[in-house]
Amino acid sequence: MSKIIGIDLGTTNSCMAVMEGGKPKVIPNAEGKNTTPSVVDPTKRTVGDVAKRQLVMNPQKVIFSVKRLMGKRFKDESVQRDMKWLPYTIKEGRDGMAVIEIDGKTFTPQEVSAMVLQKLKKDAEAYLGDTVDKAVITVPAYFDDAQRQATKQAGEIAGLKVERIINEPTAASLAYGLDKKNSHHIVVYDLGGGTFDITVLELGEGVFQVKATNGDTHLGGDDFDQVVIDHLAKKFQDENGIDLRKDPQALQRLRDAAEKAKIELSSTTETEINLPFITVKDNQPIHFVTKMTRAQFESLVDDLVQKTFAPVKACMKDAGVSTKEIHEVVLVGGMTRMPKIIAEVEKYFGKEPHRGVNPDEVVAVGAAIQGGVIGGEVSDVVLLDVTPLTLGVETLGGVTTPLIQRNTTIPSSKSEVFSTAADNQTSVEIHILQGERPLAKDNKSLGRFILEGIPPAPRGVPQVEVKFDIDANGILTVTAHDKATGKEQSIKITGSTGLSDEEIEKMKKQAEEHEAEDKQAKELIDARNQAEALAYTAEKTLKDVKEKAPKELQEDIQKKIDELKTVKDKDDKEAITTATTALSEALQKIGQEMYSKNEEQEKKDETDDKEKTGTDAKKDVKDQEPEEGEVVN
Amino acid sequence: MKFLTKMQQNKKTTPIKNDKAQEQIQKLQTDLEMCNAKYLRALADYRNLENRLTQEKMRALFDIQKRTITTFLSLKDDIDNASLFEENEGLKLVKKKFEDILRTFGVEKMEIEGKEFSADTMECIQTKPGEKDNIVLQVHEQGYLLNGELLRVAKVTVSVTTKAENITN
Repeated sequence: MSKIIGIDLGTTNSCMAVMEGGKPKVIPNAEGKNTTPSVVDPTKRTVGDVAKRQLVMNPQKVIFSVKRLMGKRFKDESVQRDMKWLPYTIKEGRDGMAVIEIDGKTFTPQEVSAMVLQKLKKDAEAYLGDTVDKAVITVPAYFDDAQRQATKQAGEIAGLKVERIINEPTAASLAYGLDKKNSHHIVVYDLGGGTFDITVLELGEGVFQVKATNGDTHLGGDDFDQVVIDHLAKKFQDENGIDLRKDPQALQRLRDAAEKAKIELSSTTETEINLPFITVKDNQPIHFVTKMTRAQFESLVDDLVQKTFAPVKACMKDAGVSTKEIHEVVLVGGMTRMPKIIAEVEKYFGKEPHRGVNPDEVVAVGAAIQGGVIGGEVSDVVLLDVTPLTLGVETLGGVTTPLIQRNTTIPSSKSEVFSTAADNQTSVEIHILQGERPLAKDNKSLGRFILEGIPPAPRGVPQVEVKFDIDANGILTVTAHDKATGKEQSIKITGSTGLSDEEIEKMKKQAEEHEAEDKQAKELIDARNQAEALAYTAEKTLKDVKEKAPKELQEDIQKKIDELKTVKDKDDKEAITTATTALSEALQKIGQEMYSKNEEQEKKDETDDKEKTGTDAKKDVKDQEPEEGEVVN
Repeated sequence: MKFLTKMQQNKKTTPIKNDKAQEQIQKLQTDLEMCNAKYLRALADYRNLENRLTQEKMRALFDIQKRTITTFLSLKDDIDNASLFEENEGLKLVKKKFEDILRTFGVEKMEIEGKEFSADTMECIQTKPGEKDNIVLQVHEQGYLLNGELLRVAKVTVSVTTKAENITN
C-alpha cells in the first residue's frame, strides 16, 4: 500500500511530509530543500526555484501566489484587488471563474496548483522509492467550499487521490499533538512569507472546529525584509547621495544582506552589514558598512508586528472567548522565529506558545500525521521497547562490563569474548547485572551460572564467548560458550525489563549521585587488575629468561614483584600505580638486556657464518625461529 | 529425525481427521504467512532505509560543503570587485590563490556571458533590450558549480527584443 503524504500547499512556499516508522518526516525536494516555492511557468511546465529565477524575465508568464485565485470568481472583490498588483493576466473563464491567460492560452488556478503538486509528488516518489498517489492537503481555515473543491481538483489533476482536505491550523495543532491534550481552545498564529492568519479552534472529543478565523492576506516575511532594505538604502543615500534601490545589482546584494540580518538577529543581538564595492561614484568604489542591533530592527518592524494584533483581537471577539479561556497557543510560519513576535504573542495570551525548530514545516507535518491516521499507520505502529538500564556481566575485581547499553531498542543481541583470570582455571562464573554503576555490587543482580569444563590453560588463553540476547518481550537469554571445547551453558531471565518506572529512576539517580566515587573505585580496581596482570607477566618472564639475564636484575625484579603484591590489595591507587610503573621499567631493562645479548650473538654468528657452509647457515636461520611455548615478545 | 519419521508414519496409517487440528494448522499457516510477509516488509524497509541513509549521507556531505564554500564565495566576490579597482600585485596573488583553493574542492566558475539564459543555473535580476532574446548580457554575481552540481546560481541581466527597457525588480 502506498503511503499518504501530507502537503502544505502554500501561497509562497509548499512543503510535504510523510509518516515513517510512526514518526513524521519532511520530504526534501529534488533540489534538496524542505520547501519548494509555489511558483510555476505553465507554458514550460517548470516549477519551484527554476521557475522563480525567471520571474523578472517573464513576469507575465511565471505564476506565483496562485492560491489567492483558487476557487474564486473573476468578479470577486479580492480577485479584482489582486489583479492590480499581480503581473500576469487574469480573465473571466468558464462559469465566471478567474483564470490565468498566457500567450492566448488559459490556465485554471487548479491546473497551475496541480503543477506544483505534480513536482512534489514526483520528488516524494524519488525520495521514498515508491509510488505516491494519495495525499492530505491543507487549506487556510477561511477557505470556502469552492476553494476547497478547487484544491481537491488540483490534487486530482496531479494524479493524487485527495484523502482529506484539512485546515492549516488544525494540521499545526496535530503536529504538536494537541488533539491528545485536554484543551478546549487553541489559537494558531501563522505568519508566513506573504500572508498572516489567526484562528481560534475548539477541540471537542478529538474533533477540531474552527470557532473564528481572521488575518491579513498581504502581510508576511517579505514586508519585514522590505522595511530593512528601505532603512539600509535610506541610510546609504543619506551618507552618499545614491539610491541603491535603483541599481538592480546593488539592490540584489542589499536584499540578501537584509534577509541575512533579519535571520541573524533572531539569535544574536547585533549584526554587521558589510557590503564592500556596493556601488561606484566618480569612478571610485563605495563600500557600505553598518551595524544593526536587535532593538533597532524590532523598532523598525514594530508597526508590522502590531498590525497582526488587530486581526487577532477581531478573531478573539468573533470566537467569543477571552485570552484567559485559551489553553494553547501555536506559532506557525518562518517569521514566528523572531523573538519579538514570540514575546508579543506570549504577552497577549499570557502563556508560552508552542513553537518548533521549523515553524515553516509544522503544517505539512500535521497533514502527514492526518495521512498516517487515515492510512492506519499511526495506530498500527509497532511499538519497539528499549532496555531502560544497561545489562552486563561481572568481570575481574567486581567490575561491571556492559554488553547491552541502556536505551538500546530491543530485540537485540550482543556478544563479547572473555577469558580466565588465573592459570588453570577450569570454570568461570557468569554473573548477570543490570544498572548504570561501574561496580557489580552496586547493580542489580539478575542471575548467575557457572560454565565448567574449561581445559586447564594459562590465564588469558581460554576464550569464553558470552552472548546476551534480549527479545521483543524483554526476555534475556545469556549464553556462555567455551570456544575450545564447545561447552555451553545458558540462563533465561524474564524480569530484565520488569522494573517499575520508580525503580528505574532510582537506579539512574543513584548512578548520577555516586558517579565520582564510583569512578574512583573503578580506577582503583583497574589499577589493581593492571598490577596483577603485570606481576603475572613478570613472574613468567623471570621463569623464561633464567640465566639469560643478569642475576642482580632478576633479584631486583623479584623484589619489585613482591612490593607490588603487597600494595596491590591495599586501597592506595597511587602506591599501586607507582609500584606498577617501577616493575614495568625494571622489566624493560630485562628486555633491553636480552636484545643486546641477541645482537652480540648475531654479530658472533655473522663471523661464524663466513666460516660455515651453506647448509649450516640454513640450519641457523631455522634455529632463530621461535619455538612453541617460547616467549617471543 | 525420529520425530519426522513418526509423523510420516502417522500420516500413512491414520490420516488427520480432527477438525480442530486442521483448523489449528490453517491458523498457524496463516500466522506464518503473515509473519513472513511482515518480516519481508521489515527487511525491505530496512534495505530501503539503508540505501536512503547512504544517499542522505552523501547529500548531507554535499550540503555542508556547499554551505561552507558558498560562505567563502561572497569573499571571492569582494576580491573580484576589488581587483577591478586596484592594480595591486599582492591582490592578484591573493585572488589566484583563492581560485586555486576553490579548484581543489571541485569548484568551477560558470562561463555564461553571451550565452543563452538557463533558469537551471541562472537567475535573471534585470532585462535589457538586445538583438536576440534570452542572451546573458551581464553577470552581476558569478555562478559556480561544485563537482558538476549547482553550487550558486549566477545573477544576470538578460536581453529582450521587446520594445521598451523592462527593469523589473
